[in-house]
Amino acid sequence: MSQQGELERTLGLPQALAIGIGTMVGAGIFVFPGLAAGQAGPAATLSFAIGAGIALLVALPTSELATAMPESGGGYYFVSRSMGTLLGTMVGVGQWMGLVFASAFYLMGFGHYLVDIVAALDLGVDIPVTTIAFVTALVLTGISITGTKNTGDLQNIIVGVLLALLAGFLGHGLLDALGVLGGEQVPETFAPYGTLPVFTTAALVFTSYLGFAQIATVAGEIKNPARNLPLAMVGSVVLVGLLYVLTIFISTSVFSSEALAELGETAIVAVSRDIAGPIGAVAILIGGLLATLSSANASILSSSRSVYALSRDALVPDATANINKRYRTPHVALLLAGGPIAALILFGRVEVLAEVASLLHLFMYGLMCVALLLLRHHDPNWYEPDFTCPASPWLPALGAIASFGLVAFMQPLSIGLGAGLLAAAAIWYRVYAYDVSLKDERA
Amino acid sequence: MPESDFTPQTILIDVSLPEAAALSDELIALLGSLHVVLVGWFEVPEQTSAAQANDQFGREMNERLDVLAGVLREAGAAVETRLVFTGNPLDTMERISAEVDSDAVLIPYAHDRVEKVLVPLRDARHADRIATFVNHLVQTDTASFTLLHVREEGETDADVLTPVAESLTTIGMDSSVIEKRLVDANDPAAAILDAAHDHDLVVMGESEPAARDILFGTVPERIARNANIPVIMVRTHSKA
Repeated sequence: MSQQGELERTLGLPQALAIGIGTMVGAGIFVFPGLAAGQAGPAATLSFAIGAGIALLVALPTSELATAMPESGGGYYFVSRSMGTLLGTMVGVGQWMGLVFASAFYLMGFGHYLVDIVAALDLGVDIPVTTIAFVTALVLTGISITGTKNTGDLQNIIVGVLLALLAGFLGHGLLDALGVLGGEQVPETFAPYGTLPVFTTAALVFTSYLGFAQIATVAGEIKNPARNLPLAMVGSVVLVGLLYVLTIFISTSVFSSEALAELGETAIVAVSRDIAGPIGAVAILIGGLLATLSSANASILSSSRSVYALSRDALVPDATANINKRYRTPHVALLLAGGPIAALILFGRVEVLAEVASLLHLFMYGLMCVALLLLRHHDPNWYEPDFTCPASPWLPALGAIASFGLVAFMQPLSIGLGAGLLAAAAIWYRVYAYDVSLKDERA
Repeated sequence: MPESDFTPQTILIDVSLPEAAALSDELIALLGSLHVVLVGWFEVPEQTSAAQANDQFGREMNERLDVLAGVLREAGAAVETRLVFTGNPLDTMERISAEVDSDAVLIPYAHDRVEKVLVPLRDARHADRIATFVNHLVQTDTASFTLLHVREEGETDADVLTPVAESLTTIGMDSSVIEKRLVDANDPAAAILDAAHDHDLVVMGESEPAARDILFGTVPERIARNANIPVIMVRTHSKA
């Protein structure tokens, strides 16, 4: 590793929050409400609350780790520096592929929104969702390789517009749901399908919380990380968690679970039409397009950062991190994200994409909590976090148990795929990188 | 700090990498008496982590900075180099400028004459400071100076130029080499750019970056780029 130059820290708190919120907000509100309510009924609110709880249990230990090691690479870096290169490689590959699965999932959501818009405009054309998602994946990858204008400001604006839009929707919807505006309500039992679906739904929708740890992957670029990292991670989880729970609460107040399930990925559009008329529907359609696209884009960028982190430690070939001289972008790493995303879209099972993305992240989250416990126990000289996770060891221990535990509630196919990918990462390590010693080994 | 005690000491040179602008011998000679901080910045887009760019380009960029530093040292300047990989060069220059407490920032351009110096002035507030800087830096017998004020529509007729001309002559400059030029225009930046075309160097006070500066480059950057001459911004912010 060569440290010839200084690295400017360019991200303030608003930008860091926007990374977290921008990555997360696409899924929970604009894709999941129909699917989640169909599985768990109004108790899907509880599923989202469970997700937020687990995310918070992980966000606090992650904040401590990130302030002690404010390096690019996030979870990969923390785990490889505390638990060795085998688990590090598995986490790094999991982070890379997890974001690939997540991005494919967001783009499928984007496809559903575009199809709905095309249908609403009555143009008489019928484009399959997968085609739209596939082409968008290629276009996004192309733009991220060749685009030299920073889209960071655009991302902030999108997040701002979305939050304003959602505040209007939720404010109106909440009054409606509580009966203040005298709208009709759908009376329903809280958990019509029993308790188990509450947990399987929590496992499904956990993809909605996969943004906060992305803040840690750019820890090296955040100004005043001691203050801004914990604030951004915890703040973004609390904010989107609140938005999700409210959205589901309102959706299930307006429509029955069966109706929401039938409406599918874009159920929230119908909810908005019911609350605020055609204008509401149009606003949410546009919001859905922006949100899913912004989540997909943020995931592609983060994914390429994970490839770089692995390459820096020689766990994957150096060439993967090469920067294109003309565009100054890591074109190989971006292709290593965009290519698999396009392939996964052809596979096309939205729920499996979401669950594998969550599984790979939960594996990392659980290990980050364990990493914190190990570091607290061994207390190496270099370990001097500016932020201290409260209630240790109980909180990180609970975070680890909850992270690993949630995986048990996923579909067998998702568990198989996720475990297979992690096993493949372990085999890669044995074959390619068993003799790697970390250049800046801390322990 | 009273303005009259001001002696320029530290100047930042804004070096945009990877293709660093060359410094002309005439410009290098001017900098000989100063402490020069060469700030080489390499802009990275958000898709790229600064660390990644540093790994790949750090060594090579430092070598380029060292070449420039060597030339300046030969001219007698005390030189320090800083290499920064950044997503926001404006932030970077601002931060380092404050860190080293610099008196001015130079945006270099290879232009092999320093005879006609343009000094655009917005108001008389920092007149002394700018005058001292101009005098200290350009001590050749052949140089002439144009003090330029752009009068915008509705602006009252406060004379901005006379106090500056007076401080220049008080310091010891011959009044025959000072030209006062008052221009009426609604776009000051365009008027300054226009005037810059028949000059060899621009010395101006720094301005707060406005939104359009972030989109199209700051006024000094645009002058350097379009008029193909070096620009020196004298820092006028109160120092920390």
